[in-house]
Amino acid sequence: VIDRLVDERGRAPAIGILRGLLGVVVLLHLRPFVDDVRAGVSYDDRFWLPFATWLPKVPDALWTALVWTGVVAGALMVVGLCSRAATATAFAVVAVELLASQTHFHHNRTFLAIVLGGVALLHPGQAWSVDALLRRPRREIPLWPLHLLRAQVCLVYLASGTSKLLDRDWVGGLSLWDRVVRHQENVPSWAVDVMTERWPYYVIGPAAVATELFIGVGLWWRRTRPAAVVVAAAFHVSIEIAAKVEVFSYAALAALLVWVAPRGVRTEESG
Amino acid sequence: MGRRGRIKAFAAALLALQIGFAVNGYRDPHAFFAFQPFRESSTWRAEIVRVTWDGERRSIADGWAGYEWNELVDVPMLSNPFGPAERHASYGIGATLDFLDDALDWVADHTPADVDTRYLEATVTYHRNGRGPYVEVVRSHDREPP
Repeated sequence: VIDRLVDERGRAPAIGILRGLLGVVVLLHLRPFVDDVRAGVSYDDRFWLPFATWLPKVPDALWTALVWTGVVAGALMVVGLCSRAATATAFAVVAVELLASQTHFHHNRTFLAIVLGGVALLHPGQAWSVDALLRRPRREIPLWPLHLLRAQVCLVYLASGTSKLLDRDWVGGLSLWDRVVRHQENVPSWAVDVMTERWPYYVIGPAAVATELFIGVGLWWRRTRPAAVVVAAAFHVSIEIAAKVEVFSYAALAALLVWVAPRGVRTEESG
Repeated sequence: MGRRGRIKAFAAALLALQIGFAVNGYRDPHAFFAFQPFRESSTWRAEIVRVTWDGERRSIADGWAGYEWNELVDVPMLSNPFGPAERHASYGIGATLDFLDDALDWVADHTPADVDTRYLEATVTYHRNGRGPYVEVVRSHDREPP
């Protein structure tokens, strides 16, 4: 099966749409960095911490250049011009920002980097792009990066769901309940009485964990995929409403496009 | 190694790295790259003081020697720590305490206009998923004498 997945070729026009959406997400992600650069603030002007002492500090001028390069790459991704190079550049910029300081780490940024890396490998200018208008797009592309990206996306849901499953406070609903009680001013007044009771969370907690695990497994199988996509979409919309997670909801919703079935799939023998 | 072998090796390495980070998240307080979001509902606040060379303890909540905590430590996880209400430990209380410890060191090293502080100390009061309160004290290293 793995050999077949490695050798598959086909067309995946949905990746062109994903590229354009990710371009917007990259621009949104870079906005606070741009604000700092325009104000003459570099990341090391404030508390920062390298991941390893041997990692070099990014010089201020290079940091500024990186941020603006990322903006240009994001804009090119949106219109689909030099799509592959732009996506690879955006991936590099996001990855360098992420690795420059421990204080830059956020799960949503890691997710964005993963999806950008995967899309860069997928010839993202083949459809829905200026590239496709200017030159004849490739009829077929290798599909192994799509399968790899799908596996990585599933791992994200499974890692998150498993960590909660192994956490007694999460699976028992205590974490969720405590959070809602502490932020009950954000709960509609008609729902406060019920939402601040402890007992519903004995069901809501396990259901939340099961949702993530279902998405992580369900996306992988053709029969359960439509349901998993719908559940994932609802899941991300609800997270966006309930919590501030930077660009995660947008990136994750866009990334659901990797589950659109590629067209004209055939297997090419290779050594 | 042929094309097929190279692709399989690359994919296996990438997935192994991702799984490795996910497993490492169970021992790393920050769970870097482990995808363990919304880990805790824990909350915290801190009373941060600078201890001078003559032993005085002075709060830094209102700034000191021209410095402000929120300007020096402009990290969402650690900003506005002074209460009175406890704030959410968005990446878990373990990550918060670990970062706060490092932040105190960084502030101690990057406040040259402050000549009379020996070290900074934070007394952290926190609730872990509603349990507590617990109290933990973290402090910076000693600064060079003036």
